[in-house]
Amino acid sequence: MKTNKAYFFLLPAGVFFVVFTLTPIIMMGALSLFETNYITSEFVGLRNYIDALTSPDFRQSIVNSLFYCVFTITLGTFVPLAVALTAYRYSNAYRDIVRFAFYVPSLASGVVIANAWKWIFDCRKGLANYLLSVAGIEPVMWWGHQVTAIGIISLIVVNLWMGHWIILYLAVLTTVRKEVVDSARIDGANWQQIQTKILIPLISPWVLFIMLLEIISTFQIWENIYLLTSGGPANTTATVVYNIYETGFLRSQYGTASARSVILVVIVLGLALAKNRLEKRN
Amino acid sequence: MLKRKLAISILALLLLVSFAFAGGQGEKGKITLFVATTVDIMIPRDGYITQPFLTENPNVKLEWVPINIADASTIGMDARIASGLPVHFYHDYMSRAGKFAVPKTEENQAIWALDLSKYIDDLDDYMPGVLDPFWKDGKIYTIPNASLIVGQLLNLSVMKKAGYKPPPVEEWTLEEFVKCAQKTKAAQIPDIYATLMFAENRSGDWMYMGWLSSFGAQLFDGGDYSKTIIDSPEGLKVFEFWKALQNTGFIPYDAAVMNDDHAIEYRNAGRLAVMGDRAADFNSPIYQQSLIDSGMIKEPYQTAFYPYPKGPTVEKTPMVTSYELTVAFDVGTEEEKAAAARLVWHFTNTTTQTYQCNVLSKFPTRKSVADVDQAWWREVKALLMANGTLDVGGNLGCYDGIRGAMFPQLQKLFIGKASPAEAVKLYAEALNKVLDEDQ
Repeated sequence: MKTNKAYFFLLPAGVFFVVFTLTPIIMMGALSLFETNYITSEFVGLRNYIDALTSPDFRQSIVNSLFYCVFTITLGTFVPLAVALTAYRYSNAYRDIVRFAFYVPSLASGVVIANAWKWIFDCRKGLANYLLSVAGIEPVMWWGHQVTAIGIISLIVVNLWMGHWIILYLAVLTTVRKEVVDSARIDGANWQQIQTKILIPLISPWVLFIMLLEIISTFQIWENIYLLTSGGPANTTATVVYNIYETGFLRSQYGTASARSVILVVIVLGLALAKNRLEKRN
Repeated sequence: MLKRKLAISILALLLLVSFAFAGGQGEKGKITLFVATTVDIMIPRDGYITQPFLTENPNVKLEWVPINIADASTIGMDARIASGLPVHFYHDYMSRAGKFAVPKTEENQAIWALDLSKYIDDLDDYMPGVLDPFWKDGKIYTIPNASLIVGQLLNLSVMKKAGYKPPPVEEWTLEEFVKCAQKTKAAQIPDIYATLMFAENRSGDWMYMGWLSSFGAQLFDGGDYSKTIIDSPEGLKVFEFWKALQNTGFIPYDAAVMNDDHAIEYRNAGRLAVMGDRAADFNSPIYQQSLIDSGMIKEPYQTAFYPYPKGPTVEKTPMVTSYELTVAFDVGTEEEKAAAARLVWHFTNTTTQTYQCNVLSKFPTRKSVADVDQAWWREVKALLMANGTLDVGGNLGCYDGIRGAMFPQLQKLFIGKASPAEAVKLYAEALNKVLDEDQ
């Protein structure tokens, strides 16, 4: 009886999941076997998958995504960790200020934030180049180079999530028993030793967990690329999701885009399984 | 209590369903045509199309379906067709509408266009050659509306400040353009450029494809759309010229990451000596005043419209034109098909095209449209007659793909990832891929 009731309460979420998640994934799988622009359709079997794996654009988007990961993992995992560890050392009031300050950007609209950054790094009218010119340095085409463009986009994305991760780290740090830290202090450990030898090893599963979430979300960065670089120049800033959007929606190659989406699902699923294993270890 | 709630919920659901059903029925005895149009095409439907059409077809109700083209793709129409929502008619720029002007084939079982030759009896009113690209096996699946004409907009005020006076239109050569660019650059007027190109997205092609004409380069060999012929010495010269424009500072150095917004801003603010642009009355006091009112400029500027400059071996420079196309779909009853075809006629007839020419600065495809009573308009028409049009594959269903093949190569060219020779090769490969997929 209890089980039946549980199923009843799960039903709305289950229906939602089947209609809006499972069915589209199955349809996407079916569509990936066709070459279609919705007007003409032809069954092509696995050709779209072969095309995807041999397509320079798609392969570059995977490489780009990994490049983004370098930035997002560094900035999105270790910077919040450093901030949280610093805040942990001080009073609750100080921690609240840190939480608030870093959480505020995530409350703003992504489009507004992206446009603000676009202006900051605009070649001619931007603040960054203005400051460089004051220092007598030549202007930089920020959005025209892969490293600078990916670096800035990563910074924007990380900035939006940093507050969440700081809160999470602080919550995890408070679960570390105070006695452990106190006894280390009595034994003569300084703050740096406490951090590196006690706190970080104790919360390392969470660090890995956040790192994996960062990787998954990095593969899915879309809106900032859409608003700031359109995947360019020369496809050097397109992530896997942006490449799928471009293939499907801008080039009307829905079958090809579906095959690429299935490949993305497999990548993300693999990462999600790794995340689950980590959670179990936690 | 639970039963009562359940009963109320079922009742509400029934009411909703009945309202929805009533909404889809339309007025009794009338046929409903679902008319898809994009939001930015500014034909005043009521006076020019809807009213005459409904007077002529009182048994028809028009259901307007706005199609969002914010990202310039066909996703709006694609989604409508894929979800099975009804649509009888589509009107849009040729870059998108061309995709839907296709007959029924083995691969095409979703939706196909109606052969309009059976329904429209004044096709002989179209100017010679205009309909040629649209005939397929003796059938015509789309009708073009009045068109935009693209050439070069010369900002005479900027040129004057730079100390350059352009020659008469027939003497506008590459050599003159370079002279003008050099003088503009040498004048060092802050934030003024000789010309502009942008490559962040596909939208820029209309303003730089005209350079092909300057060097005698062509995309297609006399209507043969099986492969491109751009990978030629002339085509290479165009790409070398574009790179030279960047290297010499005649265009902004960050052209690879500039887009439409920049181009419009530069044009409106009068910051370019020469810009690829559509023909329009930019000198009109109303237009200039609107720029002053919006704070874009402090004083009006004077412009002239020229075709692209002639290269040393070129006699004339064919101009880029851009049509809107109208497509009626082969769906529903014979009565619905006839009504949809009739709507095509109302969208493209002499009255509508006359409006488009007089108010929207376009140029007619019908012979019966009277010349606009303005000197600039007649001059542009004469330029078009003298230079002809550049075939950019606008009549092909894959035109959207053709447009999309250029900007990635331009980006590579402008950020130094490809030399002009590599860029033209890559462009030819990308174009041929699009053409192959369309075969």
